[in-house]
Order: sequence, then structure tokens, then C-alpha cells
Amino acid sequence: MFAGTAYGTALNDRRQVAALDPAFRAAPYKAPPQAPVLYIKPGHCVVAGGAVVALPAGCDALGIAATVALQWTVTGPTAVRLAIDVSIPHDNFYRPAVAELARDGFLPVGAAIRRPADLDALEIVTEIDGETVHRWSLSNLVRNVPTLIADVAAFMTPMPGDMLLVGTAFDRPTAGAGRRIRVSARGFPALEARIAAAGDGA
Amino acid sequence: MKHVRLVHAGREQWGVLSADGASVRLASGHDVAFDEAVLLPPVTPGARIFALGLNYADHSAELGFKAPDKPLVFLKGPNSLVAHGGTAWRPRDAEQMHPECELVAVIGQTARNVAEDDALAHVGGYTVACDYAVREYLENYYRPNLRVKNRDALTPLGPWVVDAADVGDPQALRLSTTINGAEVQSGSTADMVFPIARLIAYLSAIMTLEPGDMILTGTPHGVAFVNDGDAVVCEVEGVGRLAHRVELAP
Repeated sequence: MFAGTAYGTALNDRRQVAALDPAFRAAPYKAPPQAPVLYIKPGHCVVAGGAVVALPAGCDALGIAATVALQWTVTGPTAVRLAIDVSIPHDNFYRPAVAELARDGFLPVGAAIRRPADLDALEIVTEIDGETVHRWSLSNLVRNVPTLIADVAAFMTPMPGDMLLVGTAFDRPTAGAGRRIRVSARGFPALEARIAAAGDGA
Repeated sequence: MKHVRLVHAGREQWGVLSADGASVRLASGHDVAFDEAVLLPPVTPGARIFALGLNYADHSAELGFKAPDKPLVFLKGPNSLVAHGGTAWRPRDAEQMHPECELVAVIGQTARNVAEDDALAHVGGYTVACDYAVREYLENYYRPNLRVKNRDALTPLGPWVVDAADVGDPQALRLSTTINGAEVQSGSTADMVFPIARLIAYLSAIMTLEPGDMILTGTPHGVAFVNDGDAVVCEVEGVGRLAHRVELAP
């Protein structure tokens, strides 16, 4: 088990926030988000690359959001790794989505490397069963990495060992049982995971 | 028995409170005076910290909500915790910070898909939390959002974990909060919308609960606001009396 806490950032994709703006001005939201919208993926979510992610009973496919996790060390958010933010697809942001986001094994992560000075143009590629299905650039972020770090630090202090996922794509793919996921980005060790039906070796 | 987490002789340790409450016996055999102990929140490192919103019907009504039809669960990080005797920092730009006294169930054995009837057997102990909310920061995204509920040191927790066997029926305990000695919250765990056994059954269907995981079970009615210098005490009958101070953040 990973001893730290992983924090995810929702609604940090510019196209998503633009598309949902009319909805966000209506009930139950009533106003667009102001502060970073975070969620928690406890240490039990975190699994190493190559892990098998179990489909929960009654769920046909999982959301596969390839992203970058900032990793806090004793010297601050100085490391990064690729991560797959696995979720049960949901489109309601009103209440905390613990059942959808915080399940055991729902955060495969790759090896950590030193954080590059600039991540603003990093493109993250997702393959499913060897076919490229999604490309997403961190140039889409509402808050880029330095801004996100500053805005989160305004209300909480990540500790060494904690991670912060920088955001997830609006149009993330989904994958069902048996699918093999591979996530890559220039300069990062690639990350793989496999989806399995509940009870199938998971 | 009451289990205390503290720093002594340069390292984190756990000890057992003496019968008279005056000292803590460490595994090494040393005794530390409780009043001089450097306490830590009695949390198992790496444990999940669940919390409940709107889990008392009277508190929901007071806030203008109807009680939810399934548990309103959110998660907290360990940065939010502070020990008995510690300080909760009021942000400089917020006035509406209110204390929420809560009974905390601490899981004692692995729980996966447990039935409600068997669920309480998976509780190892209980403690007390004051799960502050800062209402100015509420936004309707994953509400209650982390800017409200996951601020550093805004969840005093402790002073200890008491064995479940020493508590009896956890759904028949009086809870109270005082600010400078004046009672501002008073309720009973009998009034939870989702009692502890149902919460464990619900959560264990989503993920595997492990020893040390904590469930902050929600707060009864009584919305009061704190000011700098206030002495706040949250007490749950038979579990503990959790004291802390409120100060203005630097």
C-alpha cells in the first residue's frame, strides 16, 4: 500500500468547463467553480504499473483518464509520474463521488522522475489493446501546473509522499474487461494496466 | 483501554492511558505524564479517513436540507488532523467557522461486503473529532469541497482511541460541544440517519476497509461560530473529551 494520499483535480479541462458553463450557472451548482475542485484517492487506490484493475460488479466499462501526478518530496512537488485516474463514469459533480473515484486499485502509477521545468505542452497518449485512442495535452488545463500548486497551497499543504493529479480530459476513453491500457508521454516511463472482470485474478 | 499516540524520546509511539488518566504507559515500560505528553492524533498512518455529511436529521433540517437517501460520504487527508490540546487556525478571510462534534468509529478488522448485522464486530475502537466547516468556502462541486473540509489542522481528533468493548452501544451516546464553557451542541448518536453498522456495510460494498480506517459519523444540530482565543471542547459520552483552541491564522 502507498502511504500517502493522492488528490485529484476535477474540472480542470478548459473545453469541459466551457461546454458545461450553462449547466454550472443553473441548479444545483448556481455558479461556475472558483477554487480548484479536488477529490481524494486514498493510498489504497494506488497500484504500480502493470496492475490489474477490477471492474466493480454491475459496471461494464471504466473511465480511463491518463494524466500526470505531481509527487511531493521533502523538497516540495519536485517529482512527477504518469497516472491512470480510473473512475466509474459519472456526470454529476454536486456531491463527492467517493464510490466512483476512490475504489481500491483505481490509480495505477508509473515510476517517478524529476519534474521538468515546463509541462505546459506535454502530450499524453493512451492506447487500448495497442491502438491509440486518445491524445491530450496539458495545454488544455484551466490551471497549469504552477498555478494549480499555488491555488491548492492556499488552503491545504500536501506532505512528502502525497500526489496531486493535475487534471483529466473531458473526453477520456472507457475500457471494459480484458482491455490492456498503455499510457505514454515524452520523457516519462510508460505505464500499463489491465482491466479485469470482478474476481478475475484482480 | 485507551490508546494514545504521542511523540516521546524522539520518536512516534503508542501507549495506554492509566486507569486514573494521569499517565501513559509506553511499550518500553516508561510512564509519561498525560498533561506533559506531546500528543498526536490517534490515527494509523495511511488509514482512510471517511466523514459523513447530513447524518443527523435535525442538523440537515437546520441547514435547509432533507436527509439524504444514501450516505453523503466524503474523504479527508491526514493534513486536516490535529491532536487534543492543539490549535485550529481560523482563516483571516472567514468568519463562519463552526465546530462539529462527531463520534469516530475506528475499523479493527478487514471488512469487505459485510452485512449490517455483522458490521459492528469490525469496529476496533472509537474516538472523537471536531470536523470544522468554513462556510464561506462552500461551493456546489463535490460539496462539501476540500477547501471547506480538508484545511490543515481544522479537524481536531482524539484524545485517544478507546476499545469498542469498553463503549457499549455506540448508538446511545450523548455528544456535546462547548465554547468557553457554554454548550452550543447537544445530541445523541441515537439520532444518526445511517447508524455505524449501516455505514460500514455501505462502505465495505465499495472498498475493502482495513484496520485503522476511520469513519467520522456526522454531527447533530447546533450551528455556532468560533472566534480567536476560544477554548472548544467536544465530548462523546464514554469515549473522550477532546479540547483545542482556535487562533487566527498567520
